[in-house]
Amino acid sequence: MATGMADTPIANQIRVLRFMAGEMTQAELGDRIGMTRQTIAAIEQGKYSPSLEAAFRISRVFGKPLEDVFQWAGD
Amino acid sequence: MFVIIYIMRVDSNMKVRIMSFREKIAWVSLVGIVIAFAPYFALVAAYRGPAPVFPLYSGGLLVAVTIMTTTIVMLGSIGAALTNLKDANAPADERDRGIAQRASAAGYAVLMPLLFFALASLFLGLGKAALANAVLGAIVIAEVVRCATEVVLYRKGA
Repeated sequence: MATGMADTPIANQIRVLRFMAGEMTQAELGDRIGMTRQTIAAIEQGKYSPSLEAAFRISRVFGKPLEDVFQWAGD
Repeated sequence: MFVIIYIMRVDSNMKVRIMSFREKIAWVSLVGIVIAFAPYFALVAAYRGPAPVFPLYSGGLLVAVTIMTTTIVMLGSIGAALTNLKDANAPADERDRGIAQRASAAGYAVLMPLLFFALASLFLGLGKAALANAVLGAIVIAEVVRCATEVVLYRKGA
C-alpha cells in the first residue's frame, strides 16, 4: 500500500522499508540512488512512477526483490 | 522576490515541505519574467509618441528589461543555491528531466502558433519594431507557459 495520496497505479512499501532500515531518511535513500529527496517523497506518495532502473536501484538498497517494494495497484 | 527562495509548501497532509532547488528556480524564472516583461509590454502598448521614435523607445526599454530579468533570475538563483548548496550542486534526476521535457513541450506548443500569428502580422502592414515586439511577445508567453508548467508539475509532485 502506498502512503499518502496515490496518483499512479503503482503502490510501494518504501516508507515501511525505510523504517525497517533504521529509519533511513528520504534524503539518504535519494543520495544512494542519485535522486533528490523530493523525488523520493513523490515516489513514496505514489505521485510519481519511477523508471524501471530507479525501481531496481531502490529495491537493491533495501535488499528486496522488486515485487516486494513495488506492486501494481491499478485495475 | 527573495521570499520565493525560502518558500516552503504545505502538502495535502498539511506537512511542510521544502521546495527543491529546481522548483525554486522555476519560480524565480517565472516571477522574474513576469515582473520584467509585463511593464515592458504595457509601456509599448501605451506608446502614443511619434512613429519614427518607436523603435528606439522599444529597443531602449528592451535593453533595460533584459538587464532587469537577468539580474532578477541571477540573484534569485544564487539565493536559492545558497539556501541549499548540496541540492543546488546535485545533477537533475529522472523526475527533474521529465518535468523539464514536459514543460518545454508545453512552451513549444504555445510558441509555434504565436510565432505564426506574429509573422502573419507582416501582412497587416505593421512596422519592423511592431513585428519584433510580436515575436518577442510570443517568446515571452511561451517561456511563461514553460516555467508555469514546471511549477505546476513540481507542486503536483508529478
